[in-house]
Amino acid sequence: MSIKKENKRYVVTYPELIFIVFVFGIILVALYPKDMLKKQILNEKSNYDLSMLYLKNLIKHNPGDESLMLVLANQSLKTGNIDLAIRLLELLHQSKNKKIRQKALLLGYDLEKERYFYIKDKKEQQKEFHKLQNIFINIYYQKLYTQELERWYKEAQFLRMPREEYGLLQELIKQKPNDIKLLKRGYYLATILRKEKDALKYLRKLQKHDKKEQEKWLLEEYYIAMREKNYDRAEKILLSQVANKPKYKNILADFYLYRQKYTQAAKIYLDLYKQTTSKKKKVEYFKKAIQSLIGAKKYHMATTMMKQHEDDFIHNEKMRQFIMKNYVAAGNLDAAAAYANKILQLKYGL
Amino acid sequence: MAGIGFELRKLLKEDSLLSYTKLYGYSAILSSGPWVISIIAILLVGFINLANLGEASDAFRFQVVVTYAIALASSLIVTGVFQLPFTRYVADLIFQKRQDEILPAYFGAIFLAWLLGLPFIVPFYIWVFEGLNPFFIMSVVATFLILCAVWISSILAASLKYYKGVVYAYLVSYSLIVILSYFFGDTIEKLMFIYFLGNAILLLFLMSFIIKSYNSTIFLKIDFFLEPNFYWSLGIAGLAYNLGAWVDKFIFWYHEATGHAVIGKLHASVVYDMPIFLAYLSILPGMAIFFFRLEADFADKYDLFYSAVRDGGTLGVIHKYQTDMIEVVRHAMHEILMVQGIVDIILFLSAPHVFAWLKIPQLYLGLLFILSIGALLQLAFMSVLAILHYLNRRVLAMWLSVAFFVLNAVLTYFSIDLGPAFFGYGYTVSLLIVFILSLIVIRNEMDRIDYETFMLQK
Repeated sequence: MSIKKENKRYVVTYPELIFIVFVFGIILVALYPKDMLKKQILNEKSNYDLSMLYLKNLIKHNPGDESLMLVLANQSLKTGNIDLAIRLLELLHQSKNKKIRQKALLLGYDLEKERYFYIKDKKEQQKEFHKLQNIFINIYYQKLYTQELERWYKEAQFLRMPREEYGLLQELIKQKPNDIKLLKRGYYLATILRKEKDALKYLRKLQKHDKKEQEKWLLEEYYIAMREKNYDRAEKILLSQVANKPKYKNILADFYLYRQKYTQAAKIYLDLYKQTTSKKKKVEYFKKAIQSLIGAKKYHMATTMMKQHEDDFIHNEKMRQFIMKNYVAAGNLDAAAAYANKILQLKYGL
Repeated sequence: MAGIGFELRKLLKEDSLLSYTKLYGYSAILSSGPWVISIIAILLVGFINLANLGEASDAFRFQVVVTYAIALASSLIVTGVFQLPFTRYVADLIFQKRQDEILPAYFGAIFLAWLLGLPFIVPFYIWVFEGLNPFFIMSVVATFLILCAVWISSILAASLKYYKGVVYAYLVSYSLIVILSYFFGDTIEKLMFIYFLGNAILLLFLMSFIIKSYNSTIFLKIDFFLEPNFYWSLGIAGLAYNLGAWVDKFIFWYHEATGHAVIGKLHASVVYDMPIFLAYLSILPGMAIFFFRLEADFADKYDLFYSAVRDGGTLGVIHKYQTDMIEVVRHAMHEILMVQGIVDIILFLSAPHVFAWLKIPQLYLGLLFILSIGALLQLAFMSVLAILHYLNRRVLAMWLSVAFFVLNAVLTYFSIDLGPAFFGYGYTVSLLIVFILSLIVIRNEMDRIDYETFMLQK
C-alpha cells in the first residue's frame, strides 16, 4: 500500500537547479575581466610587482601583443628590471607599427636617462649624455613631445639644447600666453639665439604682464635698441619715461653724452644737480654737466655755469681745483684769477 | 550545540527589526568570531610592525609562516582528519549519556594529534626552513602543536554553555598577541614566540571551560580513534574539504606564473592572497544566516522528526516534520543565496571606490569579484555538507568533499594556464559544480529520508 504525500516539497526542484546554473553562468561570463585587465594594468601606479606579474602572464598568452610588451617594458623600467626593459625595447624598435616604434623611442629615452644617472665614470657619463641628446633630437623632430610638452621642455633644459628648448617653449607659450616665467625664458633664449624680433615680442609681453618688473623690461628694450644702434627708438623710450621717473633722466643724460649731444646732456645734469640734495651727487652731476659743455666746446656756457655755482663748492678743495682747471681749460683766465682771489680771501683773509 | 540554538531563538521572541539585527549579529560573532578575531589580530600585528620598523619589518614573513605553514599544515594534515570523527564521537557519547568519557577522549584527541603530527611536522619544518635560526624552527613547531590543540578544543568548547567565553578567550589572547608584538616583536623569532604564547594562553582558557563542564575519573582515552568508534568517512571528508579549501591557494603560491618565495621554501602569491582574503571576509553575513538556520531552525525540526520516528508518531506527523525540515533547508539556501548575493552586489559597487580610498590596486578588483562569487558558493556548499553530516550521510559528504578537492585542484591549475583573465575561475567553477551536485544529493536524501530512516536501520 502506498501513501501519497500531499503537496510534495523538495529542497530544490530541477527547474530551480537549471535556473541556479544559468544565473551563475551569466554572472561568471559577465565578470570575465579580459578587457578590463589591460586598462587596469596601464593605470596601476602603486604596486608594480602585481602589474608586472599580470603583464608577464598576459604576454605569455598573447606573445604578439606589442602594446602589452610596451607596458611591460615601462613597468620593468619602473621596477628597476633594466635588462628586461632593454630586451623588450630592442624588439619594439623593430616593430612594423609606427606608433609602437615611436612609443619605444620615448621609453628608450627614459631608459638611457636611468642609465645616465647610474653611470659613475665621467667619460662614460658624457657618452651617455650625447646618446640622450641624439634620442631627444629624434623625439623632437618627430614631434613626439605633444602629449607631455612641459616634461620634454624640461628635458631640453636638462640636455642643454637651447634651440630645441626654444622650440618647445614656443609651443608652451601658445598654451599659456601670459605665463611670466615662460615669457622670461623665451626672452632669454631668443636673445642668446639672436632672434631679436622674438626677443622684442616677449619683452613687450613682459612689459604688459609682469607688473613687478615692468621697469626692468623697459630698460631691457632700451638696451636692445642701443645694441641695434636704433638710437631714435632708444631716445624715445627714455623720453617717454623721463617725465615720471627721475632715474631715467640720468640714463637719458648718459645717452646724450654717448651720442655727443653735450648741450642736452649738460642741461639734464644741471637739472639733476639742482634736484638732488645729496652733496656727493651734486658734485657728480655738476662735474658731468661742466665736462659735457667743455666736451662740446661750449666754453662760455661752461664758464657762466661755473661762475653761477662756484660759491657752492668753495669749501670743497677738490671741486675748487676742478673749477679752476676748467676756467683755465675754457681759456677764461680772468675768471680763474677772480676765483683764486676769492679762495685766498676765504682761506687767509687776504 | 543545542544551547546556542536555544539562545538564538530567545532573541527572536520579539518580532522586531532590532531583534533580527541582534540575532544575526550574535550568530555572526558565534560562527565567525574566533577566525575573524585571529585574522584581524594577525593583520594588526603586521601593520604595527610595519609602522614601527618600516622596510626592516618581518611582518609579512611572519604572516606567511603563521597563516600557511602552521594554520594550513595543522588544520590539513592532522586536525582535519580528527575534527569530524571527534565531533561525531562526542555527540554519540552525549546521546548515550556517557559524558564522563568526553574529557578523556578530548585529551586523547590532542595526544593523538601531537603523536601523529610530530614525526611528519618536525622533518617537514626543518626542510622548509632550511638554514634558518633553530630557535625560530622550534617556535614554529611549538606553535603548530599548540594550534592543533586549540582547533580540537575550539570544537568542543563551542558546543558548551561557554560559547560566549570562547569568543572572549580569543579576543583576550589575540589582543595580548597584538600588544606584546607592539612592544617586543622586532624580529620574526620574537613574533613567533609571542604568537605561541598568546595561543598557549588561549588553549588554557579553552581547556578550563572544557574541564569545568565534564567530570572524569580517567585522564586519557584514545577510543574514538579505534574501530568501530572512528568513522574514516568523516576523517576523509574533513581532510578532503580542508584540502579543497586550501588547494587553490597552494597552487597559486607555487605556480611559477603567480607565486614567489617569501621565507625558506614558503611561497605567497601577490595576485591571489589579498582578493581571496577579502572574498572570505565578505561571506560573514551568509555565515551568520547559515549558523542560525542550522543551529536553531534545522536542529529543532530534525529533533521533532526523529522524536516522532522514535516515539511512534503517525506517518502523517512524520511526513509533516519531514516537509518542515525540507522547508527549513529550502529557506536557508534561499536566504543565504539572496542575502549573500545582495552583499556581493554592494561589494561590486563599492569596492572600486573603497580600493581607491585605501590605495589598494584596482587590479585586484576583477579577481575579487570572481572569488566573492566562489566564496558565496563555498558557503552554500558548506551549508549543504553540514546538513548531510546532520543527517548522518557521511559517505556522500565524503565524496562531495573529495570532488571539491579534485575539481578545485584541476580547474585552478588549468585556469592559471589559460591566462590572467581566468584567474579565480577554477575555484569558482569547481564550487559551482560541487554545489549543484550537493543540491541534487540533498534533494534526493531529504526526499527519501523517511524511507531510509525506517528501512535501512540496523
